[in-house]
Amino acid sequence: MFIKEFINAITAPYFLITAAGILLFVSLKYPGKFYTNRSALIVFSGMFLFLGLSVIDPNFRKIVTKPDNVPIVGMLFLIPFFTWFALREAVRNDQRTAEGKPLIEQEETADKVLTWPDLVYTELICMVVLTVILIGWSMTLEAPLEEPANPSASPNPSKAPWYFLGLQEMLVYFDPWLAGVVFPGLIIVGLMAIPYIDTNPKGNGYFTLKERKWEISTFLFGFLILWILLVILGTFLRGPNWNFFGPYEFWDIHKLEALVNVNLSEYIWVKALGMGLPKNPLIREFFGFVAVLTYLLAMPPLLARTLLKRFYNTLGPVRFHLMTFLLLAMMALPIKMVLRWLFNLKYIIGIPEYFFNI
Amino acid sequence: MTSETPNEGGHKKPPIPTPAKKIPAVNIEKRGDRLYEVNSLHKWFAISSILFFVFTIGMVLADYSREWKTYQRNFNRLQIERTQKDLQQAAASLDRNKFQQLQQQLQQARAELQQNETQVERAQKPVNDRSARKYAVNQNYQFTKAVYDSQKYEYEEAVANKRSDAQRLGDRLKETEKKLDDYKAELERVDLDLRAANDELNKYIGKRNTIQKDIDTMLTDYTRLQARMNTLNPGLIVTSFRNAPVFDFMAPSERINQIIVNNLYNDQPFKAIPRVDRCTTCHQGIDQKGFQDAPQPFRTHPNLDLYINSASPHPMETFGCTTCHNGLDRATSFQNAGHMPRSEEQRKQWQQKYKWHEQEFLETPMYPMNNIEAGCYKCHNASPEVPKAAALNNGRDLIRIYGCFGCHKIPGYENIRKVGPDLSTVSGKLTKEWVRKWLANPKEFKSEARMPQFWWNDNNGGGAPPYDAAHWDKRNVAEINAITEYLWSKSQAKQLPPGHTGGNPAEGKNSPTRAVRFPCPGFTTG
Repeated sequence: MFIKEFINAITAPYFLITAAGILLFVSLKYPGKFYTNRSALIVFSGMFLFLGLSVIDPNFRKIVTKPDNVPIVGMLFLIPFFTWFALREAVRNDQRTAEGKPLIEQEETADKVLTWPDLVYTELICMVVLTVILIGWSMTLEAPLEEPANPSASPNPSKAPWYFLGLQEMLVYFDPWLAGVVFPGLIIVGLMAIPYIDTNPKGNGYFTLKERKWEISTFLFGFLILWILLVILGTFLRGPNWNFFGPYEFWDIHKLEALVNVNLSEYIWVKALGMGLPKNPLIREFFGFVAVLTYLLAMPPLLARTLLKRFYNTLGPVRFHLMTFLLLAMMALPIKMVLRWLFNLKYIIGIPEYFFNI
Repeated sequence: MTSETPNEGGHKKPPIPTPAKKIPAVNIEKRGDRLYEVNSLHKWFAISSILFFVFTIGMVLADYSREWKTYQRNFNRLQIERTQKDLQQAAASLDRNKFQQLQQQLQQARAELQQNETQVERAQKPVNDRSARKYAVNQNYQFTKAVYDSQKYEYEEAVANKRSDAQRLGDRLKETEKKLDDYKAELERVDLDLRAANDELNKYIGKRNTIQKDIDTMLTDYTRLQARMNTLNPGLIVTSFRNAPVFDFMAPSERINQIIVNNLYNDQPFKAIPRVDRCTTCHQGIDQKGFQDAPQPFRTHPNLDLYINSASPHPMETFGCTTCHNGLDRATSFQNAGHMPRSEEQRKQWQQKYKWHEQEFLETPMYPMNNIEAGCYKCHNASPEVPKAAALNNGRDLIRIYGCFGCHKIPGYENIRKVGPDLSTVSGKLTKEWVRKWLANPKEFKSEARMPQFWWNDNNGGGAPPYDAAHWDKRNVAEINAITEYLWSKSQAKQLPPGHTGGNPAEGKNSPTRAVRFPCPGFTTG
């Protein structure tokens, strides 16, 4: 009972996301300790044990064994597995390079891989195995149909398809025009822009972490923490009214969470300066504009001189500014998350009169 | 987050950080120039193929053993059993003596025929010849008729359009008509000839044919049942092939039966989809007499005169099943159809037998059998009484008498007078004390009171312990007090009509009506 309550508590978004982020960066800092066979054994047996024991709990079972959630349960194991596999190979390769030995990939093949049988045959086997899985899946689980769609009654919780739940989770922190339009657009455009920004050919055709630590860390943070983790959070831990529910908590439709978030303008005008909010929204949100513009306009030159100086030197100004813009947009999400968790900050700029909230 | 090897810039391609000389791949002798050992690939391919095969067979079997298919197989068996019984009965009820007599006569007639073999053959020959001739002439006649019809069309078209060749076409039509008449006359002639020949032949074989006919009449029932038996059970080869897994896509005898219900729709967003009742897929005996005692789902409908039969007021072809019963029209399994148990006992039984559970998302589950008359009300809601629906009528009476519509909106009861009395002057009539007592339990004061008891019921303090009796008592008393106070606060003083104000006994004695008791409170003689 105590353990269940403990787990319910530590899966709260602020703890889960922060802990996962810290864990990711620590593991990338000391990859030799984390991406080994032994640690994988511990992690995966721990996950199986957790799942096996937790399934006894009726509330846990109800959500996790829903036929809709099968792909996400599968993802829970597949994503860590492939991340671990790639990084383990990278760690091994880095070790070999340090010792002056050839890379794993070079030992596997002299200089080429044959289409037949190395590629086509394995693809064939994959196709057969996947067909088997699909047949087995469709035989054992019925389609999770619910009541006929009714435009006048939306279900609660009203959830996006599972692969969009990361976007839906962003709506907790940002307005729809940002979380639903600008950020998804930037994700797609940004992913397309990567090959033009990052023209470094290192790591082509072989696994390595040491040579591309910054790139891999940035990508894994964006993908694992800001996407996959949010999908998992949205699937298993968000219940009616998009409230947070621990994995062993009953999805009570009447659960209430206190909404005590305030805007930056209120913090400054009301709490710090002790006066009322100005009538004019532009004056009211003056500090918010300053903060956002500083973030977007002053940060890139600052970063070019300090933290990311070497990128500015190698990439040139155009690609550097593109990269920093995308990076700042990505980091806006965790920054807003932290501000929300620490200060109950609702909006940095809040002009609901014009639907302009950041 | 600082990388140890800074990016070299995009345009120069730095070499992969490895020794410059080419390294021979490990284990290359065994693998040849391949990445994977082919033998291990073969092994994995074999394993996955076997799995694929097993799962495909599983898929076919899962389809073959679908619930409704099993039911149809069982029903087929049941029907065969019953037909066999009927056949035996029919055989037993035959008049043996008469049958044997007829058989003997038949043999006698056959013997006679054999004696006159040559004559019979001689008589048979013209029959055969003339039959062949009749066939040929008839064909000529039919074909000429077809030509005549088409020519008639062409001629009429020409006349209608005032074409110049109308005259020519008309002549042609007349010619064909003549030919047609000739053929018809010939056909009649040939037919007469054939009849004469047949009469000649009948002199010899007529007796045998009459006896055979008598025998056939005797066996009518039996042969009918036999034919039925053959369709029900056409032999193992046919059934096993038609309904075999995989082959059953062609012309299976096991198939989903459905009734498309006229004018009844499933109302989906932006689309009304016609109801398709598939209940008869499993309820195969529902419209057939003789399955009253069969196990479910094969039992006959208990009231065929009122439902199902095409002559009844609710024929199955137009009403289907879900019109009255509700349930999911397209479902073909016990669970999905939305069956609802009539009692707790049946619920438990179904849970065991069918792994039944209530469907969370079904909007129209079936009416349980004890509420089945609810279905009648869907259409029969205009008449004050629905014939043969005692429970429904009773319930509607109760609603009217007890005035449920006072608080609950019930269609059809909007304009009926409310049952409760006017309380606007209650304070002038009653005491608070009395009102509290009445509210707490109306039937305690008047056993036939219509007002229900609202407090100390099963769920608010009157049920079996454990419950917090003190809490409920306190709460109920508070509520009753509150209601009483509310009534008093809204009540006006009652203006009672002047009552008996004394009188004059002496006058009364003289009154001609003194022997009568006047019940009117306002009556005064003074």
